Amino acid sequence: MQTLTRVAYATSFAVLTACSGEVSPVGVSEQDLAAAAPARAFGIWTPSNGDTCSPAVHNRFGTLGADSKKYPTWHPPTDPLTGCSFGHEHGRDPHGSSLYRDIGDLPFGYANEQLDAANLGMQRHEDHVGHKVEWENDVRIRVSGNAGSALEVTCDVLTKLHQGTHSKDAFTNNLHEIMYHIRCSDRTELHVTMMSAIGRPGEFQSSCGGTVQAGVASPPNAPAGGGHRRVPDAACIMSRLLVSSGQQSDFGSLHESWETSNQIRTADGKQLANFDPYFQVFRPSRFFDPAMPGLVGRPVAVCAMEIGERKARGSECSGIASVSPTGGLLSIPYDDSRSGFNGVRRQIDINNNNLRNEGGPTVWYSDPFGRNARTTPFPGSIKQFISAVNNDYGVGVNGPVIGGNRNYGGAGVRAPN
Amino acid sequence: MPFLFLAAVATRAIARAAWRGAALCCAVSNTPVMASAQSTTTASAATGAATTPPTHTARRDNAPPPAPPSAEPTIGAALRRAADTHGLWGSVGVGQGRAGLDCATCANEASKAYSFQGTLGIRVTPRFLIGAETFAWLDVIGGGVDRIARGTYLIARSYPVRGSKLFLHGGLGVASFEVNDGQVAFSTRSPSLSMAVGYDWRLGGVNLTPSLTAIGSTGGRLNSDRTGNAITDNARMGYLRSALALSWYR
Repeated sequence: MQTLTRVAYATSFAVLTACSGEVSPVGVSEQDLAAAAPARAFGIWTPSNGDTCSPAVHNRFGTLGADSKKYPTWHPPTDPLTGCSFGHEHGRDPHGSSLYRDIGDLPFGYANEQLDAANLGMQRHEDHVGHKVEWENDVRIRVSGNAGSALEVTCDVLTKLHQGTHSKDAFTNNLHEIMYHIRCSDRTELHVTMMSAIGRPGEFQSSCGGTVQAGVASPPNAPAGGGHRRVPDAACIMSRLLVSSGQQSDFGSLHESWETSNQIRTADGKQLANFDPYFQVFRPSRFFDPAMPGLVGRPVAVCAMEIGERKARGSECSGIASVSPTGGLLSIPYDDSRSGFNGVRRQIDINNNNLRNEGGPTVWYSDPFGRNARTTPFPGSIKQFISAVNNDYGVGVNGPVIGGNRNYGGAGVRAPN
Repeated sequence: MPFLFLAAVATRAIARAAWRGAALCCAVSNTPVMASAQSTTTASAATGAATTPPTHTARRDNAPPPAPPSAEPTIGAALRRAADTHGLWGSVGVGQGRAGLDCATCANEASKAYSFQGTLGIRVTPRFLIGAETFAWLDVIGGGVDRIARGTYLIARSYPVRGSKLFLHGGLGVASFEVNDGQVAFSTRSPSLSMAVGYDWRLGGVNLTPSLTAIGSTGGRLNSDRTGNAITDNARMGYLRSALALSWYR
């Protein structure tokens, strides 16, 4: 089936190319893409450690933002035309989303770029591989209470969060680009791109509980936001993974949960919309380890640890540690494609999607943090769409989990991913 | 839309029939209706003559004669006369039926429950009746949530086959549907159409009247009662009921 998909993809691309001779893999003409000024996010990926695609192949997967700059966008882990491998993945192909027809390709890094222009005294740029797309059509939204059983709200959801789980970035940095698109049968409709302030800068919540002060954020004046980033730390991982004989390691403690709380507000503080999706990663390639020079510990390295009789036990460590000539255990590199700690399994809790915009304009321009929304653009503003409804029904309306049954691994995908 | 047209035609037909009935009454001087009207008119005239002077000036010879007060062409008066001529009717009944909401955000699940209905009207002619009907469908036992449908209609009933007690009736009115769990309620109210077929069985001084009724409504705004916010602007209600009623015709 995967082969068929690749053949179909390559065939359609070949036909497009043959017909026009100048269409990029995602629909923007190559001339337009070549002529556009690059955003900071464009062209920053370079191959390493077995990646077989060149930057030139990678940069063909670009699109234009509302500012007419070119941005990277979703691409498959392997190039459908040449078959080369990029070594990373961006989640689910958005072309299948019912919302894609209206939204088009997602310009990765657009909100980061607008932050540069917003004159807020801060910059925040993120790496390429952390952009993760997820979507689902016709998801049923739960309406709480017995009366809620009479209702059945369904939605199309398309999201993109920059959720890097391979580096130290998220230990301190709480600003991450989010794109959130939802259209529901109850007329709820939201198309938002912004920098999500997830928790407080400089700290995170340990997977085992408690707040960990991890250092100085970048930017240091990043605003605090609601929610938090729940990330594993070394003390937690050592106690849960290194277990005695007869026990099983708790690899679930590696689980990261980035629980966002996002609002679009006017300058006078009126909240037009809020949405709180939780983004979760099950087998990231890192944890916080203050004893390490880069503050980053690697689960694959834990697989090769022994403290007395305590060691990591479970299928997750199978085949990634070997006995060294001196008799100790050696782990494979964290970015080896054999490692299962690569962040390819994720899920999103859709949660609340509250709009308070009944009778209001549907097009708003906010700053990159969703603040100061007004109906006319201003420097660094981002166009947001909020349907003109108030969807507070007096009961909890929560979305389900999406993406939990998918695995974006394979085809050379490895950390950093 | 077709129903509105039919309703308009039916209303005009009722008015015409009632008016014909009134005209017939007026032509027969010894009917109770006419006798009553005449006596009232006479009494009023006598009273007016005794207490106030005539307010009209002398009628010119070529002026049209004033219409007689007894022939006042109002629908209300005509219906009153029709009722006096052909009688009143009414019924009360119980039924069982399935009702549910249908909309873009509805679970579209119908449930079964008992209902109560009552009708009161007049007989415009022996085979054509009009009146008002109300019903309540109550799915309130168990489940942790009450579903209640209500409706009130202006109805017209016809016995199309001479000598048969089979009737058809249709109504136009307003129906509501509410789902309530004690914490929050979602409700809608909208124009509604009722269609029924039934039969009258003579049973002593009353009639036993089984019927089958289909009710539909559309264009309802489904609101949360807690916030007043609309979940959808086009909720539709469907209700199918079989019922047994006791009917009186006087």
